[in-house]
Amino acid sequence: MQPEFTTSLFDADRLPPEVIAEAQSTSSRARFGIYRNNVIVSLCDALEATFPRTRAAIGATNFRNIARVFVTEAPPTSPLMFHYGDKFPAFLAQFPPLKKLGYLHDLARIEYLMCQSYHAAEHNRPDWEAISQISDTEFLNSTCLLGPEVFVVSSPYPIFDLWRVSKTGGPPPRPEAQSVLVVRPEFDPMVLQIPNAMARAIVLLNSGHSFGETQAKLNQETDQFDITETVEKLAKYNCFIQIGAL
Amino acid sequence: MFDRSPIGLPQAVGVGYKPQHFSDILSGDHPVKWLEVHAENYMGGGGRPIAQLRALSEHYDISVHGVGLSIGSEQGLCPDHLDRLKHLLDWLNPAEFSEHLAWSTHDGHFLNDLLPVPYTANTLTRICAHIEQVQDHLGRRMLLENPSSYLSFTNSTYDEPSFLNEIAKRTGCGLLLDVNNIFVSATNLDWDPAHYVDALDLSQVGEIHIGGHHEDHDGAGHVLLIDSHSAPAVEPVWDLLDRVLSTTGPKPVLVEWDTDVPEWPILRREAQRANSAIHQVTANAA
Repeated sequence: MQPEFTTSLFDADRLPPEVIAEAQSTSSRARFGIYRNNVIVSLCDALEATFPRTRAAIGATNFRNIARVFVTEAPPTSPLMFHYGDKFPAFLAQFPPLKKLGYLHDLARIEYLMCQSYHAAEHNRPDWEAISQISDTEFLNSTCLLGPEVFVVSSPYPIFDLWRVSKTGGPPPRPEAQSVLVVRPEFDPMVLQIPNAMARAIVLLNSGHSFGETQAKLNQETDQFDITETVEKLAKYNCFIQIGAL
Repeated sequence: MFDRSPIGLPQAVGVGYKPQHFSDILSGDHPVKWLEVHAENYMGGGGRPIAQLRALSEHYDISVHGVGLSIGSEQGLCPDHLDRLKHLLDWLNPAEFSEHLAWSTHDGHFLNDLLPVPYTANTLTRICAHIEQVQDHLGRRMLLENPSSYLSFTNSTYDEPSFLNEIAKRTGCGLLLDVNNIFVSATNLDWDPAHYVDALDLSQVGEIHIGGHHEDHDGAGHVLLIDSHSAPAVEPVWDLLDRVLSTTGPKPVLVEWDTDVPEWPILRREAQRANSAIHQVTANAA
């Protein structure tokens, strides 16, 4: 019964399953419609809760219409609704009517990562006293572990400015590539603008490169890069779990 | 078989916890003695939700109410979700854990609603096996909640009270009796709610829910009540609560309000009314 029931939930043109009393009657169709409505509306509500700025950017009605298509095509795979929507940014990017709003993918991505950051586990912090005792060479040879609440988004669009005006309003930002860092010093995630080079450095650090390797790789792009600024930024917002073995 | 009996909730009023009421609840200026949380909202790694739940659990008994196990599923329970639930219950050690007589998953998808099951010998066997699996995995007894129903199945061979009684008898689970759900289902499916209450084995009831619904129509002239948890309970539902309590004696009663959540004073007023109903039956028994 449940395969047929599920198929009918997502297809408003289908009759309720035969096993439902008087399945073809107006009354039963209306009654089955309550379940159909509960499923679609509750999933759309979940997306609205996770993506409020994306919703503001495209308008509530447009968002609802697009969300209805998404929830039908990609229902959640987990009962943890704060994880639902990981594929929504990519869906928006490929949704033909939104093609000209290329930045929407990255705006939605930031919102999804904010939600993941909000629910991420607390973690230990490095022993800064011990770290202050090691040599510069030892430090540059060290790798680090970042907290599960830390995320980087790099965009070909002025994504931080777009993020900011999506809440406060304001003139459209001038076109440039921007990067943001999502952090959570205590309970409330924050979105910080960071230089694009710093964003690349954090991605390298997070994939296991040492501080020295990261410095060297970034120096191939620019001689202006200083890994110290990246370390200070991450330390300021309690992003490190561990540095080296410390 | 599970080896740990539930601690049990106080025979007093509780409310469904909403984060916007955190400070009001901790102020203590209310009759609320316990709180209920939805399990799946507290399965993240940490952050404010977990911190708040830890803080609340130091002052109040907690009932964990799951919405994601899909006990009626034809495809079995999700082992990962069972493990997540066990992790939550092990660190929190709540006074009760409850789930629904419903299914909500299919082919690896979560449908985010409590969907109905036909009441047949086959579904009875399957649901009992799932409840035993849950209780064994969690090492504790669970409560099973009666659903709100909008339609019926042609192949059902049990009425709902008989079905629930049989589940409780076979598995040792308790019942979470939602009196609003009884009223909604009875109205929608032309049952007598009083007869339903009288037919149920009320000795198995470990917790009671009361909440609101809204009224619609089915397009054929029949009133259709929707279990929305978005309004105060109506008078006939309060009467059903009194009817249940008059048989069971004092029980833990939860005011359930999940959508269009009101300001604290309104929820507090509903809690006071439920508290009065419990006190009334306590006084009558004395």
